[in-house]
Amino acid sequence: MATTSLRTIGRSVCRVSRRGFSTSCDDKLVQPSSKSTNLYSAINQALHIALETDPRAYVFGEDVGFGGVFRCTTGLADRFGKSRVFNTPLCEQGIIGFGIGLAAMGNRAVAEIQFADYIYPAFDQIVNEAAKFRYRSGNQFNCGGLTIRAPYGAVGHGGHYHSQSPEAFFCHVPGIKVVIPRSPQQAKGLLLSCIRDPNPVVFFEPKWLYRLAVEEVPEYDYMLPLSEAEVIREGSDITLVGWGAQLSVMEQACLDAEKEGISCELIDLKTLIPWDKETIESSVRKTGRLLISHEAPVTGGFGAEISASIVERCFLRLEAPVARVCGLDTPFPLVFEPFYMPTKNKILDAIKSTINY
Amino acid sequence: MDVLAVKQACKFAKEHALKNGPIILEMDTYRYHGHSMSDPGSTYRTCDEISGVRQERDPVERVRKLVLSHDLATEKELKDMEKEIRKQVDEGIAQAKESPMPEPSELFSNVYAKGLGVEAFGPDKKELRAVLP
Repeated sequence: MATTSLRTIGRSVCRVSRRGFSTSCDDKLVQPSSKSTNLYSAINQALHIALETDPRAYVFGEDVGFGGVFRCTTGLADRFGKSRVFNTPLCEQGIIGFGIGLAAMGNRAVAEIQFADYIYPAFDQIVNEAAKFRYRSGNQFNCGGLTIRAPYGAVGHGGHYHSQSPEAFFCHVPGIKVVIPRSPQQAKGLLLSCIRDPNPVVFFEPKWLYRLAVEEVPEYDYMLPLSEAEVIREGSDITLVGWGAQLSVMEQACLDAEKEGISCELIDLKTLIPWDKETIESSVRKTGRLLISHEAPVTGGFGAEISASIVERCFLRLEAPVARVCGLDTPFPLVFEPFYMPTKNKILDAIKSTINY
Repeated sequence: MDVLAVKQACKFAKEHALKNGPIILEMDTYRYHGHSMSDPGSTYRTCDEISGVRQERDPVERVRKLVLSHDLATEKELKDMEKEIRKQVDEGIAQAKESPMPEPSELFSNVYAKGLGVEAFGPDKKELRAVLP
């Protein structure tokens, strides 16, 4: 895809609103050895560390040998050799099948699917093989060393084959974990956790933020816990839950709502399955209102699951129906991407109508 | 790269497949351009290689030479044909560039057969309408 134009967008927008796309509030991580880093470089650092700290770790996928289309794997083949970092044929089913086998033999297999839109040929391998490997063998075998990385989401001009957010399909599959980072610092720590987690993980990277999001990222090896949501902004009137690139949009809506006197609590879910119900529940018990936002189509999206679970747990505390501000129920459009997207104003609108219910 | 060889090979493969079972055809092709703006197509091969293929193995050029050597058409007829096709393509591009953006309602068009199926909806519409055949 048009990586070059992505790069250009990244550069031009970074200068204007760098802060808005990075949500570093975990001050304890920012240490003297931190450097201003964008998201794809943070991923690259994590992969370097993963290969360096585990001689049985491998990175492979389409074009990763020369750095990958988004440059996430730059320098890995030079440093660790072509037997540990290599290109695969154009066959997603084969990439994941190979990864499962590699992981089953006790290795750490980090497989890249070039775009999340192209993960579907590997769906059978992920759902029927990777997710059930441990279960169907009664824990005699597992492929827990498998991590699947794939860029997901809108980029402004990607159209229907370079913009999808397929996370909900994978959230319906017990046996795998689904993790989505919101920023460079989060991406590095979460990816290292995923690679070292003893379960197969699907790790979706917000491709819009690869160059757009820049923040201080520690250079050392650190991991961030999975299945722990994070309150990245405290508030008292309404709880907003999201993940990945959507959080920066939601944060801007929170800032606008604040000007109108509405105090929003913003939560980054980070791990979609198994998800941190407790953090969301205690927040909704405090605010009495919930809004969920994601880029994927609203029907059958993971927002529906969060909504149902929170209604079960907080029914008597809710002051208004749970709001979902998501993608439309259409294929991802090209020229009408701005209409499709759950934009800041749509979120602000939903915040207000939930407050005024 | 020879279109007649492809035809012959497919004919053979079909007969073989019907009589003896599966057969694999390996197609020897070449891509002149890179995949995208991130792949200019010149990082893993030389420009000499690309122009060499254009000069010596180009399938269209091969057919052109065959047509001429068998007097199936004159050089001028082929030139005129090329000009006509180029004109069609240029006009198509110009028309596409001049055309207005589609109506916003097109966002929901062709997701399902018109009038049948589920009407796509978004966060602003609360109800979902389904029409069954």
